[in-house]
Order: sequence, then structure tokens, then C-alpha cells
Amino acid sequence: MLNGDPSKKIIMEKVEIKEKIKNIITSVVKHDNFILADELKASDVAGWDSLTHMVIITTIEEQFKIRFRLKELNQLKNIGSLVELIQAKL
Amino acid sequence: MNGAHIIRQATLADVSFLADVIMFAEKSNSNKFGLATLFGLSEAEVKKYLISILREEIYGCEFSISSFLIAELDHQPAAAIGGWIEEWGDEQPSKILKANLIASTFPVESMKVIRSHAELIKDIQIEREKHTLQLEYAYVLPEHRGKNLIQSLMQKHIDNALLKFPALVKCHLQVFGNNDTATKAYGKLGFQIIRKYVSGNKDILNFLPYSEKCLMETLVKK
Repeated sequence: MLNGDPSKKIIMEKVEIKEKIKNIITSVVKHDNFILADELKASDVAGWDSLTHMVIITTIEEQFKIRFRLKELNQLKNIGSLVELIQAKL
Repeated sequence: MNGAHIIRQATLADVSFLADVIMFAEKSNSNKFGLATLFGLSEAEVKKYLISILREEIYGCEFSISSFLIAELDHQPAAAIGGWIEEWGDEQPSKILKANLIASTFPVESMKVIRSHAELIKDIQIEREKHTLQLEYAYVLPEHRGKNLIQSLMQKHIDNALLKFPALVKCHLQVFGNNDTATKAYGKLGFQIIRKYVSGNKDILNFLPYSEKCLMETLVKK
């Protein structure tokens, strides 16, 4: 049985989402000197400024085929809340 | 006309004037409006989006009506300047709030354009220091220059900020390196250049007023 435990599916989805996010951030800030923990914030990543933030957010929207609302973006605290928001929109 | 001015908080009724203030201040005595050139948009389009952004009223960054104070002469706006305490309370950094506002308001196509210019301006992006009073987008209508309106507006911003955050120590502003008039005027008000940010990429002059930005600072007198 592939889909016996729904929590495993959620964990798997989160891992996949995080992997995609990591690739996007790495390509935009042009380094991977960060660990994509749930607690990670923009201010923890060198080169994550206003311009790269715009690029990261819009690339995430493009790759996941979703659209964020302003209120949702302003409520994001860290990578953990970003992953949850993406997951809720998929 | 008695020449006396009043300083007041900007309101929703000022939104068109504030969009002009942002545009003229960004142009810094040039014809390069970064929010238009870098995003591949016309000035008229950017003004329309800026009005939408300002109406969102997100405090804590330069794109908020409540961040602006207005100097009024004869019941008409004559000058304005924005100001906020960086990351005051629970707020996100202003760079994130500003980026969220642009990303959710500007058209998707313009986001593709800005991606291609990301490298170009990275050297003159200035990090804002937490718990400093940030002043941004100072502009005086040409016919009202020389009346010390910016000085009055800045002092009011500092007074307001101290009421909100008594531990405030520093006030920062950013000026393009080509704007000698502004740099000298801020110098007379006690601001000193504490760091210069220079881009070595000459293409930047096709998009922005100048290739150098100065971070100016004054210590707040209590």
C-alpha cells in the first residue's frame, strides 16, 4: 500500500517543497551558504535583499503555479511558514 | 498668503501627491525613474501602481501613507518626506514589506524584467539598520524651496519617533551621489555621510540617476 499513512504524504510534500525553494533561493542569491531550516529568515541569508526577495517570491509563484496575496506575504515569518502557505495553495 | 506652513500627517486624500513625491525623489534631479526603468514600465503606469500600493497602508516602509508627513502652505501640499522606525515592534524589515508590495501589485511581466537587472543594482542596495529612524523620499515643490520645509518635516518626524520609541539613537537617510544640493542641505541639518555604495557597472546609468549612493546619519538629540 502506497498511501497508508496520510502524515507521510504531508512530510514528503514538505520535503519536496523545501527542495524546490532551496533551488530557487540558491539560484537567485547565487550561493548555498544556508541551511533551509523552518526557522530560517530572509535576514539570515546573505544577498536576500528587497530585489532578490521580489525575484524569489515571483519565481516561487511561477514554479508552483500559485499566487500569493499581500496579506499572506506580510504574515510570513520564516521558511516554515512559507512552506505551509505553499502547501495550503497546492 | 502669509508664508506660514503647517506640518500634518498625510492622508488618503494625498495619495496622488505622494506618488509624485516618490517619483521626483527617486529621479534625484535626473530623468531616470528606477521604478519605471528597472521594471520596464512607463512613469504613468508606475504612478498608478504606486497609488494602489500606498492605499494598502502597510506601516514600516517607504510605501505607506502613514509614513509621510506633509508641509502645507495655504491649504496646499508643498513638501513631504517619509519616515519610519526600522523593524519597530513586530514588523518585518522594510525591504521585505516593500518587496511584497511591489511583487503583489506590479504586473507579472515587469517581474521578469527586474529579474534581468538584479545583478546591476545589488552593489548600491543599502541595508537599513534596525531601530533607526529612516527618512526617505524628501521632496519640495520648486516654488516652495528655500523655506526650510524639509527641516521642519524632519524635526517633526524625529519628535514623533521619540514619542513612539524613546530609545531612538540614530536617524538615517540615503542620497544618490549626484545630488550635491541635497547632500549639502542635509549636512547643514547635522547629517554626515557614513558610507558610500558604488556600482562599477556603467550600465546602471541607463536605469538610475547615478552609480553611487550615500548613507547619511545624524544622532538624535533628546
